[in-house]
Amino acid sequence: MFEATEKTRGRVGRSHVMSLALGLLTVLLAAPTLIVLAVLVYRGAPALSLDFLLSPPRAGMTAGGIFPAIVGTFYLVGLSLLVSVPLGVMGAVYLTEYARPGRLLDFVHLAIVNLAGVPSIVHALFGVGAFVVFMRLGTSILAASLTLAVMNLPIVIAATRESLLAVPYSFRQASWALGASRAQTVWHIVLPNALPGILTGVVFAVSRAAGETAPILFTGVAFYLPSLPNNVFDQCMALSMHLFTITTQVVGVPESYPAATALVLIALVLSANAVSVVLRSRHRKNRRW
Amino acid sequence: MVKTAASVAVKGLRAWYGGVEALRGVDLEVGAGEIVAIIGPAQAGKSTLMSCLSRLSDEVVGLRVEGSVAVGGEDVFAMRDVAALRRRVGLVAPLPVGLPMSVIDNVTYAPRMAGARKGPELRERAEKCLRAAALWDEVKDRLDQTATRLSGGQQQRLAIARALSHEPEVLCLDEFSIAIDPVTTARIEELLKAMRSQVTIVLVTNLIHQARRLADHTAMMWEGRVIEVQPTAAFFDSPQHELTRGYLEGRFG
Repeated sequence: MFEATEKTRGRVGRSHVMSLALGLLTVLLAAPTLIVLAVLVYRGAPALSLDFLLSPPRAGMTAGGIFPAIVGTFYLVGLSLLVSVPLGVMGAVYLTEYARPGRLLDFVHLAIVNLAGVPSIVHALFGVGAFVVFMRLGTSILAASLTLAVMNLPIVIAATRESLLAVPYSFRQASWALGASRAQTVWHIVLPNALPGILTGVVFAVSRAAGETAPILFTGVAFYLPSLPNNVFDQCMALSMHLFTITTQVVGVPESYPAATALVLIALVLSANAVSVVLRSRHRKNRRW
Repeated sequence: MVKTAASVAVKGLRAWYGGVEALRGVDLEVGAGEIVAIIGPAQAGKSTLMSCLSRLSDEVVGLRVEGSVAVGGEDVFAMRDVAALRRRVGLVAPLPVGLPMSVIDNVTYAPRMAGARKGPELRERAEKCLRAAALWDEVKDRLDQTATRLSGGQQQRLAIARALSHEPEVLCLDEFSIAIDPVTTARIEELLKAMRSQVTIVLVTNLIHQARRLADHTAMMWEGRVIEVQPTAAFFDSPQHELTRGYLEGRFG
């Protein structure tokens, strides 16, 4: 009954060409990631071992492992998230659910968007001025984490805001009409449904906190430390910094070491991603509109 | 399920969206336990009036309200506890909104937000409300399913059940039958009639015959004013206002 006419047959043909072209583009987009991973695995695999992961660097960082750097990265990422996620989410909730729209609010949004675009080295200088010197925290895990948190704050706020705004306004109205307060509405209706989007922002913040070198360079990370940090006022090592160090500052590092270090860093970030994917899909099963 | 009906008195109510005047001095008296229908064309201010009754107007950015609304003799705009007011005055919005949670959680949402604990008592109350909204038979086997997967008409009835769950004194229904088939609409209308005297019902409707079937009094709104209120029979038999007559005879769109 519905057979292709001369005209539509041409259309069907064109649509095949189009989807082929788009498919190729997709492969092209995925290719760099896969190539980087492949190169790193190829070059880093010889160095990877349990010993590499669990022992400190030795012989002027030309031998041994990267354990202190892994621990340091965990400290920095964890502590910075502890600050940036609650602050960022609460800030975004205030901005979208409580603040009256107007010029001031527009200005604040503009400031946040711009802050997200500030280069990390500028955040580093801010961190030195504000946390290391002014707050007298010294070069410490705390100062470095706070600097990372400041850097990530606009990202968490922007991601949270987007996902809060994606929750239909009619849900809020229905909730208010049933005698729920603004806070109850946020807690029971808005936040649970915005969670997947917030999680995406958090994972991005994890990647940035784990990967950036500049903000921690002057604020709390050392090239090499003989022992693990005891508390947040100590300095620590970090994977990103360690990678920079053994690539450019130390002579005689085995060729496989930088690649293996990078692989560990990427693996950590990807596993954070994987966790969020699992959480999101589990979440999606329960809610749908 | 329903406590006691309360009267509603609107006096000189005016409302502006920015510079646009939506209500230009509305006066309307609704006796306790009455059903009052409000009819009128789009942009007449019907929904704005409804939102003022439970002060949902507070949540509308840029909406300014003047005048007075009294529920059970108490001035609504002077009330401190807006949440308590909204439990006294239930509102069902024109578009059906199932909250993104299970059916049972939807119907127990209002009591839970008011501090009630989950339990058999709350479930019983939910069942009563779902029955009152003619929805129980359709959802009794899937109370734990997400409400947003119900059909439009079911969600609409869910919204009615939800509005009954906090035992309101006044029930405002804004176009409740917009997504419901005539048979189900008739069932709900029966239930509304049965609730008369237990709850005051303010009904906005585009179905002129629905007003005729249900209402004790019918009001005509036009460009932000109530231009005529009469007992329903008189309203339809001998409308006083020129515009009402025209509207009822279908002389306007």
